[in-house]
Amino acid sequence: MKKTAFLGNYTIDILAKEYQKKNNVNSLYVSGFNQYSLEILDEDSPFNKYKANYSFLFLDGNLLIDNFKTLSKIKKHIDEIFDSFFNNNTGYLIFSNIYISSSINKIHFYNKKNNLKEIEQKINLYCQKKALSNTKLFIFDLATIIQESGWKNLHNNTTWNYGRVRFNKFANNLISEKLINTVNSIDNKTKKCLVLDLDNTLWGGVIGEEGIDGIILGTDGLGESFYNFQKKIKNLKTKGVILAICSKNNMNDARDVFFNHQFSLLKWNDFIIKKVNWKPKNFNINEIAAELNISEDSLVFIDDNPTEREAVRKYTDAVVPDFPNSPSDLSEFIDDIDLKYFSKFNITDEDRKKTIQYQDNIKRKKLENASYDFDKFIKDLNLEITISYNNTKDISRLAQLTQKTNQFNFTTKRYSELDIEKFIADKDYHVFVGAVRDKFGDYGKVVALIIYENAEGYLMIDTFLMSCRVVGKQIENYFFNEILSQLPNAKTIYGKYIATKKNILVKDKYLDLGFDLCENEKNDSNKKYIFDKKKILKNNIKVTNEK
Amino acid sequence: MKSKVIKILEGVLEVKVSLESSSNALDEWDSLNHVRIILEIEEVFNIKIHFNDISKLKSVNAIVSYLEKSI
Repeated sequence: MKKTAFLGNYTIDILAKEYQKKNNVNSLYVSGFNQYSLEILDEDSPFNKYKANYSFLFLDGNLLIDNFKTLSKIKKHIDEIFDSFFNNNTGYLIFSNIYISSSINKIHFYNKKNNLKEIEQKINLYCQKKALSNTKLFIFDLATIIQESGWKNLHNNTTWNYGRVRFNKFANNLISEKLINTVNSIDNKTKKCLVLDLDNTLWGGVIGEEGIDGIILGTDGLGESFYNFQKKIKNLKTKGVILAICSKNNMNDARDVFFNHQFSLLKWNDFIIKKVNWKPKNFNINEIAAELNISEDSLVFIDDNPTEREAVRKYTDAVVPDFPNSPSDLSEFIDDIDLKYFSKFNITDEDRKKTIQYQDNIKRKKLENASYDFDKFIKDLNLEITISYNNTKDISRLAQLTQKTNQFNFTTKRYSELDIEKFIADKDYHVFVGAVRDKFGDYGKVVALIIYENAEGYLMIDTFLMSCRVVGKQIENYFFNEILSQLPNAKTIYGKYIATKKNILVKDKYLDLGFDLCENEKNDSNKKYIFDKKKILKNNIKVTNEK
Repeated sequence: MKSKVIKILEGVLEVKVSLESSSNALDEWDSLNHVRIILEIEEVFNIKIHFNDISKLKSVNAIVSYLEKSI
């Protein structure tokens, strides 16, 4: 049971009550009106005997000045209070920082001498510094809450005069909610490592498809959102948080951005571990934790793709926050991550050296993949593929796919709409396009296969491609199996792999699909495969044909 | 209006409240809860209650007739 105490130099009972109701606190101690000094300084006081896990201290700035007159006396008072608190308590002290209300007329210009604002800022800075060197002291940023919502919207003069009740109902609601957030962030075990996806996470777009000049990252427009996101992540690193990459990408593409993009604030060496590969992300997360020799639950994993988040949530202990829908919200998103998981990093030289230490100590461990039931995971995604055949409606989308797709693309042949139109009209060509959806949403038409019958009567795969947005769900297998059942049975099928800088992903994919490598065609960058046995796997997902 | 006021009071005091209820007759209706009631009423009816009126509003009847006059 968590014991909670509220203390203050004004009436904080109503706020305490609101907090208790909202947070289901079953043991609450509220100190008498303006009794905080006595309660904290006297070691035998009821408060010190209560032994709270969390103590909230609210001091009204205007009253402090009335009582103590000068900054140095206020500082001395705060020293006494904090010292005595930590001598008599092992719990946390959450100290609300100071806000001094003063009407706009008085301080209209900051170039006039304004002692009150100066005192407010100096007190807050003073307390903040104390919190940096004390793991049990947290500053609750009431001043910023008031700044955000406005003093006039939060305070109530009448109840202040009536009974030193500072805030109205709206304010009590708001502040109690923020207090709960603060306590939750204290309760959270501090995390150690931030694991980041790349495409559409650290920049907009897909590096493997759009290239270094095509991705969205810069100092204006939407690019600025990603730029600021990177800036804040870099700050986390400075604070001692370990950074790692977990991305389905080609290594060279990923490196290219960090080495060569002028607006990439994050550099390749900022990341201690780089898992840039096509393995399921949960494997990579397992490995990152093992290699750093830290527990999985001290990793925070950030990825824009809900399927990847689901896999990591399901099969690892890493914390996986939801990702904002709009890049414009990335800045707030990372602030929230900072508050929730990394707020109590003490910035010491030791922390700054952490990155180097971990780099030295990385242990490579071979992991067992036994606990991972990939088939079940796929089944739970409720995948559905709808295949259309020789459909003129697909012309422009298919042309676009051949133009843009670099990674999952066996032959990387680029076609215009006119080319596609010809294929569809040609009786020797068969054009299949698949639309994919799962429980996270509709991905549209993302997978395609163009195959033709040559003069000798063999079936030749001309183009087989898939958008990287759906890689890792075995869609290609289901799609191909379904197409096999529609093609003339007896015919032998040939597939080709033409290596490019980008399509290493599908290097051995034809073997996986049941093809065999042609004996005399073992050139590394141009392989030919043959498929002549029907190895149709039973599809355990819904594959339908569009009418 | 009357039922709204009773609902507010029951929410704050967490006891059954009737039209005849007053601060004198209910232990739960202490000075602190009185301020909570005032804050609730200000929020729900979107009004500002004058300092001098706060101490007069110590029964359901008084609150209801005050609200009828001011809204």
